[in-house]
This record gives sequence, structure tokens and C-alpha cells, in this order.
Amino acid sequence: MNKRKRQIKIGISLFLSAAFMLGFGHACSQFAADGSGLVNSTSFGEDNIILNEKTVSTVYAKQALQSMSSCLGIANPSMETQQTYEDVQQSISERGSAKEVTAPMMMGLTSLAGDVCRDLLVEEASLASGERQIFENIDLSAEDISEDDLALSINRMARSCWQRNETDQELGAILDSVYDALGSDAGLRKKVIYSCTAILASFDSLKL
Amino acid sequence: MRKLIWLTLLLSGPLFAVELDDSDRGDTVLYFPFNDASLEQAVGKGLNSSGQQVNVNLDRQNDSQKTGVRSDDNGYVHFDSENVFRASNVGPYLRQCDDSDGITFETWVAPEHTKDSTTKNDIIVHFANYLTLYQHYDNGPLYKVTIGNTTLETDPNVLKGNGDFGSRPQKVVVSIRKDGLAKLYVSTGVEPNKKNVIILRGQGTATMPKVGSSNVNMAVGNSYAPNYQREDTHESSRTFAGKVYNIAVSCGYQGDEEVTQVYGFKNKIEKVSINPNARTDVYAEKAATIYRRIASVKVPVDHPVVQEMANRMAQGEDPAKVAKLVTEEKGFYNVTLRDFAAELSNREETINVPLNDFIATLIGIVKDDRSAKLFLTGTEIYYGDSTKVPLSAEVYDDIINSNKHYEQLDELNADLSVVLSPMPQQIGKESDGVETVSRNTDAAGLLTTRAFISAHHIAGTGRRPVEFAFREFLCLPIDQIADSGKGDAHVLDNRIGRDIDRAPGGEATKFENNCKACHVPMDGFRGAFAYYSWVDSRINYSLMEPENDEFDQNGVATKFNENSDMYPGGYVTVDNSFKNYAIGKKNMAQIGWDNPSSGVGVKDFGRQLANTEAFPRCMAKRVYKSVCKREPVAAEDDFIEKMADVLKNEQYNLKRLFENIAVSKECIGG
Repeated sequence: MNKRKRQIKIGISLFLSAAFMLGFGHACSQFAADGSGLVNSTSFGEDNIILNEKTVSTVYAKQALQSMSSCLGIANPSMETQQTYEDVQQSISERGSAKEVTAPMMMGLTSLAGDVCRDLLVEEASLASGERQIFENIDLSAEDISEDDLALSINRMARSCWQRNETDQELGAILDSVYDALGSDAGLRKKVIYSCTAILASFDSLKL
Repeated sequence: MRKLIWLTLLLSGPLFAVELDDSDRGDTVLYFPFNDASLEQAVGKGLNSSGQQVNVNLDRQNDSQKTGVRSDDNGYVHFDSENVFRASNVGPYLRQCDDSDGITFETWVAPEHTKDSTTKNDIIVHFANYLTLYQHYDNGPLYKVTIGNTTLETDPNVLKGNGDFGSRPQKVVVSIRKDGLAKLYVSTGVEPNKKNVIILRGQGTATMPKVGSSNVNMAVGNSYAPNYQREDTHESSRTFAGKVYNIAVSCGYQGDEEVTQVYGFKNKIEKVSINPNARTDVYAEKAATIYRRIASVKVPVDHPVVQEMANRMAQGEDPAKVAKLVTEEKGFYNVTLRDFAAELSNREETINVPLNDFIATLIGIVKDDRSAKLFLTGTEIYYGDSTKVPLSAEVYDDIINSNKHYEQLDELNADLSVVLSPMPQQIGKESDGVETVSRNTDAAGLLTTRAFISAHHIAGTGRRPVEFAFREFLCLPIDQIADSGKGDAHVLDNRIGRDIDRAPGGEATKFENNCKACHVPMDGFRGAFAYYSWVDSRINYSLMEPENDEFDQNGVATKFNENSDMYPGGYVTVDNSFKNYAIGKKNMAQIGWDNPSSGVGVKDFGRQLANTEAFPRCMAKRVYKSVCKREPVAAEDDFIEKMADVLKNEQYNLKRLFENIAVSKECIGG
């Protein structure tokens, strides 16, 4: 249990560092209107709707776990993960409205992401290397993981949950964060869960 | 190694007439593909103790009618009268499973005779003193298997006879674990254009059969023996008629997950193969956006559907047409449509409600490409078809008198894109412990579902069903259709009930200025629901139970005429007729009635709503909110009108609306 709590703490600290940067620092900018977009904007109460721009929302309480599991290909989230989901569900927006994103919601989703990432590691470790979605050809029984293999798994997670390749800047940020927060001797399990949580708790993963 | 041998063997045979899942049988020790069976003989393969494949012959016996068995070179043997194929001893092959953790038997079969008079313990496949699969009849055709002294059988009508699905076969699997757990699975039959689902149909405890030093004689089909009776049941033996496509026995137990992995009813997440060479360009990004908007879940950009969408859009294909790929994905039904429907189904308009008949019916109508007008006019509800999902559906107990059936579908994590089937809307009653169920002759789609009536016709005065029908299906809250009728001779207040105070707080003007406008249209329509009520966890319908105290001598729910002292001169509801008073200038413009008129019952009421201009417009607004994640704003009214036209032009197929809205610049940008 202590081990699990530590993992959650890792996930939360990660959110404050990497996820924040990757999420709000990057993905939101995709929705920011350019100057011409503002010309067509129409104000409705507190909302500033920009017509003909991509609308934005996040995962919502009812399907947050399903969406996370779906992108990583996890067939059976563990009981622990389902319990975490139950615990944090109240903090997650009911409909995923961009207006309803709150700090507790992001903390809850980060905590959930940490558990989902742990499930990913467990599930893929039980599969033959060629049957894995994320850790194909990576020795998951090894003590540590090379930077190249970690980068490869980050790429696969990005393609899965960001639905695109990561940029060099993003890859560098995640790797730096892993090594800064955990140290180079942290071992495969921590490094993988840390980097996975960074990706899964970022806004590009959470947006719908 | 064994797997490779059998894979080679299986793949080398001719293709079946239908698609069967013969990809890999694992530790198969006996296999008859029946690809090249003749009238006299079928040759299969056995794996001997040295790991070598040897031929195993099934020979037609002399007591068979030669003309009865046919091999049409289509990958099956066809029995149509008394006949039997026998193999003298398959013990050496089966014996290899004696020390394994279980044994699994499987066959694909298409029985033909399904009548009581022709089916009684017809032997399909028999391994003497080991395992026998029968076709049987007990209130309907069923499969039955005996393992030693244990019998497992399916429910009646699980067996689908030839003709039900155009001679297409069913897969039957029996798996017995070393510790005695025995399970019988049967697939639904390969219905054209439908997924075939294999489900657990029987379970029990049996001693795992072992060969030891014995011989095991094998038979396929059976000769008619009118005087023969089984020792245990004394039932006569008949002859099996139908087609047997293949038979296989494998060592090892196969659990639910393994058996159902190909044709699962579960809403299961699958892994996607990540391909570094897959598209990640603007087309892939757009395809991924459309996918997650319609299916409400994220999948990797490498997902085959996303990639196909991207490729087709890159070739210039209309994105709305490409988006059709996503409205066939299970996420669309299990998440998007479910939430879309859930919001309409309850008073709080929350999506966090258990599955119910309202939600399932809306999903089913869309799934089957039927008109969205059926939301208001349909005569059926959708339920978890027990031939597709291992779930009981006692109509009165599980559907009419409780939500148990739908909650169990939730518990099973059933894939709603697979398991739902329609059945007539029914209502029930219980009198002196006797439950009666009959067809609802006043069915009006979702308006007469258990969920809608329980949400809006519980207690109250019968007005809320009207209010919420307008609110949910025309997107018009009651204050928007409020019309006191001033200056319009066709809009009258003569239907406002006696329970409405005409001078609240002693001020008649308050009624005239505040109350009347809502009550004119609302009370005009509310008679439609007069024969309905909600008591004791089920819909009460007066025409079915006139003796019910909930209704007066006219069959009108008593709540319609309660508080009569408030204004004795008010309208007395005496039947289920209604008047459409939402026909003032404002309402004619915003609702767009098609021949508004008086009517009788919810059926007429629903039909009038379904034929309005406001209905497709409302569906467009709701789909926009579902897919684009915010309410459309007034500046987008033209777009909503355009999308409403799309719905009308597409025969009210809601899928087309989801597709067109999801790809629009109003939703995902230019």
C-alpha cells in the first residue's frame, strides 16, 4: 500500500512539473484563436465563443477511465485502479466542459493516470513482447531501462494517447523530468510509470 | 510445436462456406474438418502419443441410409435422415488429455429439425463413455451435453435451426476443467451483417472424462431406433438432421475469456498495433479528432479505423462519409449515444444513471439505422437479447416491474452495439399474485418507456410528461411555449384543470399574467397521459387494469382531477383526449407543426411532436452538444437549421447527423 501511495505521489509531483508544462503549456495553445478568429468571436455571458474554431473539452467523469484504458489498450483495469476511479470521480467534470477544469480534477486525473500506468506495466509484462502495444521489444523483467527504450515507449504512448508523435522538445522535457525527479538509478518500473503518467495526465491526453 | 502443426493443417484446408474461427486450436488432438467427406467416409486427423498426425476415419455404417448423408464439398457433412458415421477407437488421441488441466470439445453445427416431434436427444457427436452432444427439445430446441453422469443444457430456443439464419451454423464449445468445472457455450448463429456472439449457456460440475486404457468409439449423427430408450431418461432416440462443419477436441481447459475472445458480447478494449510508418499528418490528426468526438474514447493514431479515415480523406473523400466508419465503432454506442440518451431519460438530466429501457431503445433505434421519429412514435423497446448475452429477461420481473435487466447488462459490461434487439412495448399488472403482460396499444416510443414514465409521471398532476416531452425532444422548455392565447381565438384556456388557482394569493391578474400562459398549452396536451400512472415500480395503464384504484371510473388517473376545490369550474379530465393549444403565432413559428390537431393518447401526442420542424432542429442541437462539447450559440442557428435538414433528408437517421456535425468547421474548425 505504501508503495502504491508513493507511486501516486510520484504521479502528483509529476503533474506539477511535466504535465503542467505539457498540458497547459502546449496543448491548449492548439485551441487559442489567432487574431482573425477573435474578429468573429461572440460573447455569451462568461464564455467567449470563437465561431468556426475547434471546440474543446476534456474527458469526463463517466468515461475518464475508459478513455485512458482505451488509448493504452488496457483490457482489464485492476481493482485498485477502479477504486481510485471511484474515489476521484466526484472531482472530475460531469460533462468535460472546459469551464469545469479545476485543480482537484487535474489532481484526481493524475492520480488515476498513475494507476492506469501501473496496470499497463503489469498487463504488458504478462504478454509476449510482440503482443504489446507500448513496450514491444522492451525487456520488462530488467532492472532498468535504457534511455533509448524509454524514449521508444514514450513515442508509443504519445501516439496512443496524444494521437500524434511527440516533439523533440516534449521528449526532452519528459526525459529530463524523469531523471531529475527520480535520478538515473530509479529503475525500469519507476521510470516507466513516471513517464507514462506525465503523458496520460497531460492535456493532450485528457482532451476530447 | 503442436500449435504450428495444427495451424498448418487448418490453414491448408478449403475455406468454409461461412467464416469460422479456426485460426489456432492449441493442443488439438483430434480434428475433423469435413472438407473432403464422401458419402462413405470422412477423414480427420489425430495426434498420436509420438506427436505425429495420423488419419482417423469416420465411416458410414451399414445401418445408415446411404442417401441420407451428403457431402456437398462445402466443408460439411449433411445428414438428412437416419445415418451415422463411426470411428472405432479415438481413445489413443483423447488419452493424451488425461493428464492435462482440462479438455475442450468444439463443433460448428447447423441443425435442421427443430420441432418437438422430431427432436429428442438426437445425437450430434458421441464419444462413448466420454462426452455426447445432443439436440433436444423442451419448450423449444436446445443443446444438451452429457459428461459422465452430468448433463448441461442450454435454455430453449438457443438452438437455431436451419432457416433461422439461412443455414448458417452455430459454434458449440464444451470445456471441462480438471477440478470438475464444466461449461457449455453456444454462439448466436451467424446472422447476416450481424456479429456472431458466443456465450456461456450452461455450467455445472462434472468429472473430467479420462480414457485410461479404454477404447472410445466415436459417432457423428445417429441411426433411428424407435424402440430405444435412454436408460436414464427413458426418452426415445431420434435422428439428427443438419450439417456438421467440423469437430475438434483439444487438451486444456478454456475459460470464458478464451472461448469468447473472438465473439465476445463484452465491451472490451483491444490493443492496437503501433506502426511507426502509420500516418500522423493533418489527415490523421483530423481523423483522430473525428474519432474521439464521435466515439468519446481515445484510440491510438495507429488504430486501423483512424488510419483508413485519414487515407480516405487524403484522397479527397467527403469527411462526412468517412466518418461513417466511426458510427459503427462500439464507443459510439456504449459511450456517446448512451450519454446522449441518458440525459433525456431523467428529470435531473444527468448522464449518471444506470442503463434503462429508454437509453437502450434510443441506442437500438440508431444502431439499426431506423428513423429517429421512432423516439416518439415507436412501438418497441430494445433489450439485451438472451441469444446474444447470457442474461435472463423475464419481461414482468426484470423489465416491466424493475430495471433489473438493464442493470445486469451494465454489470456484464455488455457491448450495446451487439446485444440489443427490439421487442414490442408491453405493460403489465399483478392481481392476486398473478402477473399479466400485454402489448401496449398506446405505445409512443421513448415517451412510454418505463424510465420516462417513472421519471415524469410519478406523483404530480400529469403535466410533467408533457413538459419534459417538449423539453427533451423539441428543446423547448415550458416557458418558451407559454402562450396565454391573448388575441388568438384558437388558443383557449378551457383545458386548464380544476387544481389550478385562478387567483393565486387573491390576485386574478397573477394567474392571467404568470400561470395561464404555461397551463394553456401544457394542460391542453396532458390528457394524452391520462390513462397512465406510475405506482409500485411499474407503469399502471387503466385500459389494462380498470380495477386499479389509481384510476377513476373513466380510466383516468385520479391525480388528473385532484384538488378540484381550487377552481371547481376548471376542466375535468374524462378521457385521454388532448387539445393542441400550442398553435399561437409564436408557437407555430418555433415548433413548426405539421397539421396540428386534437388527438387521443400518447401515441397521437408523440406523432404530432415527431412531425414538427422543432424535432429535427432539437436533435441537431443535442448532437452538436454531444459531439462538439458545448451548446450551439445563436450565431450558429443557420448551421443548426442546415443540420436539421440533413437529418430530414437522411430519413431521420441519427448517425448521419453525428457524422455531419462531427466533421463540420463549426465543431472541429476549418
